[in-house]
Amino acid sequence: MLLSRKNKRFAFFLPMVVWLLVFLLYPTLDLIRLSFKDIGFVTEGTSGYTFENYTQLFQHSDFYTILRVTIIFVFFSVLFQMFLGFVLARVMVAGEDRGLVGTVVVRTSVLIGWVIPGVVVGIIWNLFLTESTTGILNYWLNAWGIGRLPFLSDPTWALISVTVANIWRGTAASMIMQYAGLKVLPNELHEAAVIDGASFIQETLYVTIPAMKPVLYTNLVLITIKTVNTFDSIIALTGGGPGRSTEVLALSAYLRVFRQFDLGSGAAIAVILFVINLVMTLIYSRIIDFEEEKGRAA
Amino acid sequence: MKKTLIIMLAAVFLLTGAVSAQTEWVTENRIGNPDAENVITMTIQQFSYWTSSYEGRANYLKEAYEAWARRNPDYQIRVTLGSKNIGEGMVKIIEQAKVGNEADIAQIDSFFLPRFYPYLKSIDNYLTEEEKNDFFGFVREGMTNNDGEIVAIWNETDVRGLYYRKDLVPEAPETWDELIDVASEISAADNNVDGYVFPAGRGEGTTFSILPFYWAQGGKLVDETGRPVFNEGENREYFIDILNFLEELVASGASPSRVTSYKTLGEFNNEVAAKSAAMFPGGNWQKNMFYDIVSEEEADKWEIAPLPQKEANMSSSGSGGWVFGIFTEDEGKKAAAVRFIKEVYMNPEWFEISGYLPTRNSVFENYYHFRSNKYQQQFQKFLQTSDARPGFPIYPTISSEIQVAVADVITGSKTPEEALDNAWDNVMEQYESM
Repeated sequence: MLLSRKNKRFAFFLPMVVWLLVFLLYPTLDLIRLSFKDIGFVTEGTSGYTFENYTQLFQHSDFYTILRVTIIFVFFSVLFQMFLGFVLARVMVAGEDRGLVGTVVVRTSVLIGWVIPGVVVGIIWNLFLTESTTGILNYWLNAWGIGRLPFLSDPTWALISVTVANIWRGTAASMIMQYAGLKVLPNELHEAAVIDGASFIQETLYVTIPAMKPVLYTNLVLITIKTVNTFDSIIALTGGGPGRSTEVLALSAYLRVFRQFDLGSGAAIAVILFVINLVMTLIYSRIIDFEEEKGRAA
Repeated sequence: MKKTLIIMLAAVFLLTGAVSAQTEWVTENRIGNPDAENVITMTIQQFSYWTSSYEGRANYLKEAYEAWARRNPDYQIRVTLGSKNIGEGMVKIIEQAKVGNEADIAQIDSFFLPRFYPYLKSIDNYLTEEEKNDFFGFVREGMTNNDGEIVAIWNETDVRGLYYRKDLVPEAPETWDELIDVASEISAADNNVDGYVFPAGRGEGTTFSILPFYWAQGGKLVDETGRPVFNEGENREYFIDILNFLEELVASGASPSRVTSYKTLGEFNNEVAAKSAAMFPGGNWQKNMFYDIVSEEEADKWEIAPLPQKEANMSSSGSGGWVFGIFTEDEGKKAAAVRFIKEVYMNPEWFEISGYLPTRNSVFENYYHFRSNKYQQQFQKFLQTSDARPGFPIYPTISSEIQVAVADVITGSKTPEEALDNAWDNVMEQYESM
């Protein structure tokens, strides 16, 4: 029997709907369920549901240390990924406009940080920052008379190190997004700014950035989510130490599940991460809607 | 007609012979006769022919698999390779065991072994009393479940000792005080060589390096029921002593502050290559590695001694290793599996080729490679007073909190007492919710 036009449309969507239900919605709901269970991989736990995983987390002083570390890590990572990504994209476009050779090579080089797996990023930065005599950066600092710095062994330096490594890793994706945004800007805007006598900085601040707002917001959402969920490079670089100085929420969830085999508590942290991501996405989306309405009203 | 029949039979015979001659005893997921009706399933995580990156080991394993297969034509082993991540691999096996979907035999990290006891089956009948008594004490204890039955074969182990450069340290320190004195002198004399480095970062290497100090004093992490006791009575004093000792190592300059970035013993191979440390706690497997990373002359400078303890008359080391757990109830499969483990993975030749340590005294005493090698003889002595980590569900949390406490003390974030109390609170909170 032939399908009606409406049913045909539905049939095209069906694989995607099934995919989303099975691989996205079901695991998310199961994660939420597990976060209310006293369950471990190696312990039987109790059969009922409980709020204990959450109450224990919020009563735990170390949870607030981890939260503080996560906020610092995410804030500075996102700030610098946005800024450096924009600067690189702007330089790239300017270079292309001037017909400079090598822009493709530069673009490809920057992308290396993006395509390398997180664990490898951690290992590369570990080789670079290690404080033994084999450490590359410390070798040069020593040679220049500055002396060795405790990049991975001092709590504050270690947090700076994992953040810098993450900025390096995420700047490429941010650059590509903003590069695409810059490329689709109408050339007339640039020409009008030049005719009006705007300097490079004035043009960037008052013409380019306002015109790119939707792209910038989307980029902000994506790199924030990516950074909040990052733990692979940290586990390879510091393992969350020294102490808990570089333990972010995502790493804490991983350690609880795969090192301590505490599935319930790990799931509770994962749900908190999910909520953080959801709230930020909603805030950004509201901002975009507001900006669009403002633009239409103007 | 008769002639035709004879020719046909001869052809069939020849064809069968040819097929038999071409039988592949070891394929990408099978060991043994492909036509064998008895199928044993096996999950293997470490030291398999398929994952071995060393030619010598791979060649040995393939030959040993084939030899077992030829001797056991009625059995074939279907192999599944486990996850390279030990924790994830163990979780997978235990989840399979919970739903009755586990392999007949599976390789288990020794310190997870007690958690598998409820699922493992007795192989008491397949080991003689002499064989059982041949295992080191901690090994036999680990292989025995709560009902006193042998349910696994702990075939391979490791042990930790103090590596020291004999050109810088003529005599190995025996006590913590001696270690601090010797290491401080070396660090002060040459700023390119640190006296003593040790792991104090977020990794199991940190916990496993300091537990021998604790065990040597008689400290216990948990009681016989698995309840944490490391902050109670004398155990607390032992731990505070250790944290004070580690703090003093760094404060006195005997050890560099970078120790909080080390997570594993393997990282000290870099120190050997860079000639930047005079002493460190290391595993038995590392000595041979030195010959691959530095010249023979340089590698020869490294000697091994017992780990320095609080008092000279104390001794302990830490041991781990891998175990084959038997999950099948089929007696025939049990017997064939035990034969496989004995012939392939308990064979003295395997230990000589792989560099891993056997778990039986007789191998050290009777096999030339172990009898004639002074390091192997040392390792045997270390193993006799060695301890294994407690296999209770709370141990991973204790280990994780110890790592945090050690770094907090060394970086000055907490006093030893505060760090230990914090670790205790976190562990007990977790324990009570279990």
